[in-house]
Amino acid sequence: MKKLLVLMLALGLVALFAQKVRADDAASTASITNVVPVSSAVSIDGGAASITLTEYTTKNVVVTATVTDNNGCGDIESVNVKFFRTDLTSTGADDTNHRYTQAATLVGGTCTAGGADLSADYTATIAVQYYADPTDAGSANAATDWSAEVTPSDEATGTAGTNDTAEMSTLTALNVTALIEYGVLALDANTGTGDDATTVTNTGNVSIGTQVDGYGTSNGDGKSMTCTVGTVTIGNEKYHTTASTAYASKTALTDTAATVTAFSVAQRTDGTTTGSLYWGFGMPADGVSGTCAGTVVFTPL
Amino acid sequence: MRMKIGKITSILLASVFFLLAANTAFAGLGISPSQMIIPNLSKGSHVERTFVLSRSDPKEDLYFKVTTEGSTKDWTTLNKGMEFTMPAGEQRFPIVVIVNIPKDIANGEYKGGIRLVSSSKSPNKIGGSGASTALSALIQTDFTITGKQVLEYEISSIKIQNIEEGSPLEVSITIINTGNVEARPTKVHVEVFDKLNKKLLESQDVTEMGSVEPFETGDIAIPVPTKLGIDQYWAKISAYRDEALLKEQSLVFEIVEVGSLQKNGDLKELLCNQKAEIGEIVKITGVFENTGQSNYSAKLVAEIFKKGKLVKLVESDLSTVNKGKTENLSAYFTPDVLGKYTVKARVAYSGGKTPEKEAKISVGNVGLLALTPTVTSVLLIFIVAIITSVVYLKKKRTTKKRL
Repeated sequence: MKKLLVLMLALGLVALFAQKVRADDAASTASITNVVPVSSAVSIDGGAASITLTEYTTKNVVVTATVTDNNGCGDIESVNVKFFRTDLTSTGADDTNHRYTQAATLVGGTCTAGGADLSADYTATIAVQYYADPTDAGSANAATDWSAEVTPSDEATGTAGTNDTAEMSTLTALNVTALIEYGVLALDANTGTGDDATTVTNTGNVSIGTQVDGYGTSNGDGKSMTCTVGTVTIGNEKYHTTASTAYASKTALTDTAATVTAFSVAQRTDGTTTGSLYWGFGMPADGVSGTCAGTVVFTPL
Repeated sequence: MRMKIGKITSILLASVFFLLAANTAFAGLGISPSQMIIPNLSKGSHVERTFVLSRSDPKEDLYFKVTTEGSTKDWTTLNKGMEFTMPAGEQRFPIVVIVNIPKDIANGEYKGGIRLVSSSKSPNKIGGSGASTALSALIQTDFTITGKQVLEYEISSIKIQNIEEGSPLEVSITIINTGNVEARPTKVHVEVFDKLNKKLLESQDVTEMGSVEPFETGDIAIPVPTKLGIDQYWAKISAYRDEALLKEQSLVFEIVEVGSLQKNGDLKELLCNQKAEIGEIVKITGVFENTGQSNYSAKLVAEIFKKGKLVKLVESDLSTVNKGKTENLSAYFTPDVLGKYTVKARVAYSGGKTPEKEAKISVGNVGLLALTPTVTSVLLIFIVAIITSVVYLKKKRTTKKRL
């Protein structure tokens, strides 16, 4: 038993000695705790208070931010930008009406490698559709606004700093078929239940109605057409929201803009949204000949 | 049968064929925003707001005629005038609506609109019958005039710039002032932490600062003295209205060596009325962009020449122009002599000045008849001729009477 104890003590001493020798020879190692990056100075379009979209196309909205990583800016792996209607939050699938996601890129020259430089600037350009939800005063979503949230990552997901916000301005816009064609009409004849349709496309971000007015040669002349000889009075040109309405039951066009009743084209959510107006014309019994020209003005409301 | 054919032929001949000058382009038009709602106007208020006309397919010039309507009709004008052109190639075209509320109007709500009717000058002629369509944009106005002073504003952003060692911290606060009096926070509290955002190094309250005019959005520059050296830092900036915290931001900034921040600027445009009258105050505006890496002060310096001789030197006030921002710097000139003037202007800013830009002003006389040298000479000859004739006739009559 004594022999066994002596042996164990001897082995213990050898092991201790051997460990010391190994420590003298080994390289020192230390693992550094990762500190997750954080974003700050988030800015939408350079601090703009509002965003105005462009009719029937996209508008580039630029989100910039500074990202800081205490392990050095070179440690930052990616930066993700969410641009969204604030009340609908940044969580959820992208939707061109109210939520966009875009990866940000490093602004050249803003990160010096080596670990001493902790911060770098990032920018993301987001192509926002013309039908993105408006949030300005008077719009349906006036109680909210749009936010930009910037989340950086290194080996782990970092922290989003304070979001920047901006109002999305209402874009009231439309597009209309270029021509209203009546064919050939005899004197004192009208188009009856036949009509020509104009397609009104909503090319903005809010549900629209429309006003219409017309003129022969110049706005306010009280005519619908100016002919080589003579003119046609404004009320001879008529419209209706229902196809094949008899000429007599259609609404006469006016010299000043009048709102078309029971007509609206919704804001786009999936495909483009359109509405139709159906036009008719009555030829005067006399006093006109030759070629005629007129204009109908559409104003979205 | 012959009679029937003849009748049909005559009807067809009498038929009116519409051969229209129609624009076959299928191009839309939009306005954003489309409403101008101002709830807190005072009598005599002046407000300017920017709207953007836009179109996805800008392949040709688009001509606009503007009319105003409703009870706000006489209070609204456009910076582009009542007729203007949206040039081909431009998808977006900003216009500024200028509102001047009369001083003698009763309190209340007033509604109206600004209608911008477009037309194309080069329509495609096609055969057919019917009408062509045109597009118009409407800005609906809704102004409420009140006798009360309303302080209402929102802080949209807080920023801090990188600075050179020895300079004060450059904090700027953007305010959207929707009230009818000048607006600014009552207090801005600034705390500076080390680069790890852990150790508080400096802390200050600022209560003296500029303000933003009623109904405008603007930046207030707040210089904060510091003794910190070259390094990266975090600043926690809090803006208060009385005791209420309006906005707080934690932001990173750097203090760098003196001389390492570039100070560049660009005088993008020089604007002034091309025609003026004697005694009229002419506003000369330089549109200046700070393209450098820090905020700085700048002013417009304009030399005014007549027949090649310098007749006047005018300057704008010194304004702070933040990094990346564009500001209008305005100086004023009142001509007292007829003729053509040349304005040569540049912007002077910390350590630099922009290249010169030129504009011309033609100064006529007040009234219908401009007293150019030629007109003045003709008038003088005419007056002398009349006086001579009168004197001659009087003398002749006197001689006759004596005889």
